[in-house]
Amino acid sequence: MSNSHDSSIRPHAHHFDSAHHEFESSKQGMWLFLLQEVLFFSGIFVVYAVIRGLNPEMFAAAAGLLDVKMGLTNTIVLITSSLTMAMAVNAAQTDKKEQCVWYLIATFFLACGFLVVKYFEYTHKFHMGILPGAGFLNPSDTHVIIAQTFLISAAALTSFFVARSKTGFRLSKKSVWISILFWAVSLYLTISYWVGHHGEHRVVGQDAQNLIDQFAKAPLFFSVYFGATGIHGIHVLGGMVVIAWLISRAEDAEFNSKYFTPVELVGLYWHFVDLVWIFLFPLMYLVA
Amino acid sequence: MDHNKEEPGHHILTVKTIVVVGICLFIFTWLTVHVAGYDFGAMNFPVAMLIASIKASLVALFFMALKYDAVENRVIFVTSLVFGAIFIILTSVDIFFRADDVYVTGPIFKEAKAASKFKQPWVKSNELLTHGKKVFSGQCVACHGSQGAGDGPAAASLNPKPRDFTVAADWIKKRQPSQVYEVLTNGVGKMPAFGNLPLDDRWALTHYVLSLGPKPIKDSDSDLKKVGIDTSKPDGGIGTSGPTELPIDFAIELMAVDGSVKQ
Repeated sequence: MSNSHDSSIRPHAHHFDSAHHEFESSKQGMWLFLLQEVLFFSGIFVVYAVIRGLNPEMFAAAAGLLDVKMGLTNTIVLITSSLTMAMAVNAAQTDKKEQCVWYLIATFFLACGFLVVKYFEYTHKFHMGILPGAGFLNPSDTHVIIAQTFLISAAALTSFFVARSKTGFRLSKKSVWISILFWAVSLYLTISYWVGHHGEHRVVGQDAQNLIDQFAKAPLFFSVYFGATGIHGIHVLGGMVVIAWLISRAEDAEFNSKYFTPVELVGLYWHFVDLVWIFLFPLMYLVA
Repeated sequence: MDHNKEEPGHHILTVKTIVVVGICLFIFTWLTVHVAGYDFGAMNFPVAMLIASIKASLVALFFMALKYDAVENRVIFVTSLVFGAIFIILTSVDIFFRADDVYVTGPIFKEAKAASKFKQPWVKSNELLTHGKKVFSGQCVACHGSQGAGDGPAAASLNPKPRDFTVAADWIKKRQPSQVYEVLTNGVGKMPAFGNLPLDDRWALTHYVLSLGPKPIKDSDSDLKKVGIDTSKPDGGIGTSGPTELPIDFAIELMAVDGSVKQ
């Protein structure tokens, strides 16, 4: 066990034949996890199919209130992050340790960017009185507080993982900057909301009013929208936490051509999150 | 052999492949947004899903390296997609292709219509009269006229003419609630049957049309028995409706029907 910090040799657990066997088993475990993720999301797509199939006109009209530009931005951000993640895996496999760290950091920031765009999208919807289900046209500060709590807890979780290190609770230089930046963005969004826009969201947008006058079931669309993108957002958040953990390990030079299991597995997860968004984007934003 | 096992033997995706796949994904993203601007009619959805599927395949085959992965892992992933598809397709088939009458006029629906929300609908009351007037103005005025004088807009084309409810001599059957109820339910002559109306509506109409003319004849217990009212029971043996007495999925269906009527 004494050589577990040696970057070139990694002993495999005793119940595996070899390090390769261990790697393949871990990867299969990840695929099984992704299998249940597909089934988990298939439930959301069923809800989508049923509600859209029963209310096609309402669906098209309600989707018209979504911002295609924001959705497109997030699609590009997420695909780019998938690309940097693939590059991080490649860097780990080819012993480019420094590059690996930077690609992981880039992936992390792109994920962060995705959530920030989502935050602006959500709060803008709240301001217009667009909320899921019974909250439609009936906004309260609670919704914004939930969105902010979401971001701040993300910041807190990430800080915790970034600070974690095998050699103790040590903050490495790059990690600490990531954490500080994330905190700054979260706090800026929160403070600017409470200083500038407090109460403003109660002004209900005419668009939302027109929509519900025409289609009484319109809130159903936004239940699907917030439900599907929200659960996807939680997956992005989860990805950020594990990527932050990878960054701190990569900085400790723990990954190399002989051992890169965590990078590869997180990569699989991250590409899956991208994959879900590839379907959510046209299904939500481009039906109008 | 042992040496081979120790060899990682992983497929390493080259930087070139990663960049090319990335560029393809950007192109297809542009294409997704671009084709959304065109109207392919019924093909809009399949086209959007086709492009999304191509993108998803690129991600799965290259970024997730399924193209180079062990066969078990490919089977695992494809299995999840197959089961997801079964889930979506079977649910859609059930929701979109179920025959309407299965849940609109099934036996439970008739049972629900038979139950009454009025205490004793065969006994005249002000609520029944008010309700009856409402139903009358919706269902009956076309022939019987707004005052029940048999002079509705459609009456001109009818032979024989509809009765004038305000004149006792014009009635063919006895001016008795049970008789009116029976005619409403089963029809008589040119008067069509309105048995599809809820029981409440038929009793309310009975009292209303009788109120338009002179005082009617009272029903005996045996008269009522003929139209399914058992006076020995407080609810007349027809039951009282309440959401708790309905199966939950049927109650939801009824609420949905109510909602669509209100819209």
